[in-house]
Amino acid sequence: MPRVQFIPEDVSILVEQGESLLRAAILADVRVRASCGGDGTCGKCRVIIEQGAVDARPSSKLSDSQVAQGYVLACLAEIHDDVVVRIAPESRSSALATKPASRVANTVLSAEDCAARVADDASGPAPIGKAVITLQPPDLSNNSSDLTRVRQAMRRQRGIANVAVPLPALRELPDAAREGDWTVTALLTQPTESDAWIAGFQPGDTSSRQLAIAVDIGTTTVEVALVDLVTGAVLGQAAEYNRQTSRGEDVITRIILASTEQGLSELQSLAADTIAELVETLCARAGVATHDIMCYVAAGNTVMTHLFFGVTPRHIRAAPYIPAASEFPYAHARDLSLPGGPATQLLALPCPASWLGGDIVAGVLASGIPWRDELTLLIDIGTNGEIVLGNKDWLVACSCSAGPAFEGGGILHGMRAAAGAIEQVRIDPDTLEPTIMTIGGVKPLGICGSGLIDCVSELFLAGALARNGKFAEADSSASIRHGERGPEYVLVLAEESGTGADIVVTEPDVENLIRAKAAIFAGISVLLECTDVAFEEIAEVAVAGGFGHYLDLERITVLGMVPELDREKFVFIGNSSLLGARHVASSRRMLAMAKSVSEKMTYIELSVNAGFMESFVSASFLPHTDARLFPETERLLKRLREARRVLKR
Amino acid sequence: MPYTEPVESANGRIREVTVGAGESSVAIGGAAALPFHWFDGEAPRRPMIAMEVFDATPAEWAPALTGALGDVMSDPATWARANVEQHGADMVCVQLASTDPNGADATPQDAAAVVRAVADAVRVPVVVYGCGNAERDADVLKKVAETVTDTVLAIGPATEDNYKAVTAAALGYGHVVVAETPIDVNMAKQLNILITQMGLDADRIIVDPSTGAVGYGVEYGYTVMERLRLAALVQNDDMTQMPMICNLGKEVWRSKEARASEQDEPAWGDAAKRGVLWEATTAITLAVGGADVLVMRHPDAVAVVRKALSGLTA
Repeated sequence: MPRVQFIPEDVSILVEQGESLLRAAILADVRVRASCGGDGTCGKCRVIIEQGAVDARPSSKLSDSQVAQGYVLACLAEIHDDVVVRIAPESRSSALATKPASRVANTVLSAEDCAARVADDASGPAPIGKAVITLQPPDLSNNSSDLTRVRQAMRRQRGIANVAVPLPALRELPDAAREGDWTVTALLTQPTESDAWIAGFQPGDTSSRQLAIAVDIGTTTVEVALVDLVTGAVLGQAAEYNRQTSRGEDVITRIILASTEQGLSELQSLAADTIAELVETLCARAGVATHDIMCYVAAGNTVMTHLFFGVTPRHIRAAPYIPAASEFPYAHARDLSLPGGPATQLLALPCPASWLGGDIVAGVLASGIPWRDELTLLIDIGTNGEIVLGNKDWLVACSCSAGPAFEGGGILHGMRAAAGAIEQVRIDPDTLEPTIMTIGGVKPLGICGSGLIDCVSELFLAGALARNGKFAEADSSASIRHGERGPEYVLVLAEESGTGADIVVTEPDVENLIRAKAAIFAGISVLLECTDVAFEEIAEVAVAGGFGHYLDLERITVLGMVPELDREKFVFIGNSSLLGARHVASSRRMLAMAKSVSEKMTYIELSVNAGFMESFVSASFLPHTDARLFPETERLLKRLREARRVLKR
Repeated sequence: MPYTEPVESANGRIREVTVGAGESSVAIGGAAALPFHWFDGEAPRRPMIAMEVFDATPAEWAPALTGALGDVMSDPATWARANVEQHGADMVCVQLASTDPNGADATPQDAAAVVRAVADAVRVPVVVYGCGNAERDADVLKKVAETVTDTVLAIGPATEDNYKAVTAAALGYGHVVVAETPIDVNMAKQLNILITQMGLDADRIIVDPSTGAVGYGVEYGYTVMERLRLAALVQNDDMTQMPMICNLGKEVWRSKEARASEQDEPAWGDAAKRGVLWEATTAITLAVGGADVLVMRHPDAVAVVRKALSGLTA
């Protein structure tokens, strides 16, 4: 990876090939101005290349003489080799450092890193795949039926003694066998060593074409991965808002809607439509046929899983809160209106409790907890914050309602993490001028979870937000003004936004985020209390959620969302639900582990836990009501307060 | 072996907050033991009783009250003098109920004049409570704070919605803030943090943890107060070490049990005794919970409570 060195700050950072220079500066916490999100239109992020070279697109914002001196716009410059860079004086924002001295970059685990944690269990036979068998051609002396030949071949060639062949598959067999000249490909479902059935037959050897779809059905966002089961490669990945959100943002509203037959079938179709469109887009982009999809593996919370299967979740809502099923039957994708062939199967990860779903079981697999001796804390940040603590011997979990704020929901200018979403924010503590970076480096359209987290923690560090999340008096700064909903911080002015209107963060937005982070922290506190585990005993904290790479550990700590532990203990694993679903799609052993995890996990019900509300109120403060839990953040805040006092004089 | 009584010594101590002027100033708080656990540690004083006066003659009060208080209710200064001279109040609490914009809508100037008159009439410290409308209280308390500067008032309630204005008034004119939160340990603590971060010393804050009367959730208020005390004394949590005030008179006297006549509730017995007992029982409960100042209304209830407190501190 190329190294970027910023002078005179003398900060270096390693970045991916082709990363933008502006992103490198933000990641290195070198303060540079930028207000257009990396679109190249504001012309504020001027830097001078001192050594090495970058691949920079030309800009009308730079004069010929500046170009001759080595000026480029950081957002238009791609990094391919080591460079030494100086921020132009006019682009430099305040030198006041708002980060702790001991900054360590986030440890982001790639899917390969995660796979390495689960040993050999990630590979091995897939639960649903193709089996090529060669049938003995019949003649007058060997007149057993086609099906008997299949059973013989399965026993002799695959070692499967008992295989079920349901009627639809049987109907395909006679023609397929003869068309393929007695070589057939059986579409085989074998979730365990002893269970096997054939969903269909194809003539000849079609085993080179085996696709699987892993689906994370979130309350707010649905994410889908297209996996080639033969090579293990991910051919594509895409996300979209769950269309059910148009019928209500939270699960309770959806349960209410689903209590009528019509509402249930509407929600089922909306989920299926969301997934179908993503799958068709991915297949078209990858140049593969949906016909070759062997299976869907879905991971979702319990309510989402019920709705996806069209099973009423009604009884989850009222005491004694009973789901219809923890393990869902294998189904045909066709029956749920999902793209695929006639035999395409569908399975879901087990949902251990009403408020603890297959998404978190998948997350536990993805983080590798069931293979580890040390204690791991898994925090899955979504509409429901799910938290798991344990190791290979035991697991406890809880689910706390964080609300949709982390996914941009319920936020005035919030949006999903898609192109145009402001995903990183740095704020000049003197002038409160924001530096923003959008996904895709295009004009900003709104703000996503990581951008909101950045923004609120930067405002807090800059002294613009009080500990209760209220804006300090709008005195010295033009960035904080009185809007229709009370005080608001202007992140992007209309002329620079892609929407033609200002993008602001309001006090209710901040309140939503504080409630969300407090729910997460309170959930963590309760789990640790229940198991009598001290913060220090946790060997690793795995943070999951659809945030991409840019959820900054320092900033979530400043907010008090996660405990202040050694930075080295934190790893980021991305969308762990999707990753776990991928694991299950490609390995029967992972499916077995998913069942074992689901059975092993002890669920702590927070709604009847006396300590939760207490912890929640205590955590509804920045960073926390008990300052002793966040000594490093408190020291940082004190240092910044003093620095501001000096600056004012 | 001789028996030694076990002593549970505290790790922290309640702050002493001083209100009033010169020789007549009074310190409240200061304990290094749980309420009335004088055998465990220092408990320098019994809870103070602040008797209420209202800025306008209250309407629709129970006859048990109006009968006992009599004519003084028409004039706050006379009322305050009677509280101190006849009933032995340690402090006076002015309730600026008529500043409520949805009620009599008295101006901040009117309110300040009432407080001025009361402060001049008595030589004990004065607590000032606004009407409870956060926005109006901010204006009223500011006016009161700048008008009466020759004595340290306790002004409140400062809530999450108006603490900045109330704290600024206290900072500017040397008063003490009464910080009110809705029966929650953490919220009480958070408001203390917010107020002290504005630069007001921690020993110029009195916490009003909110309460209910007996029969109306006093147990909940009690446990919150008890936990605040435990955090202050055992955990030495400095943002819980403020003395506590309980504004209980208004809670008691709006309960049906304190107000109902014998005609309406013949089975409940003597209405005059009943209201007094309701207030006294509530006050003693809250004192045992850790109240340092009891805001009370009926002179007979005050007498009962004073007697009980002397018994507990003996």
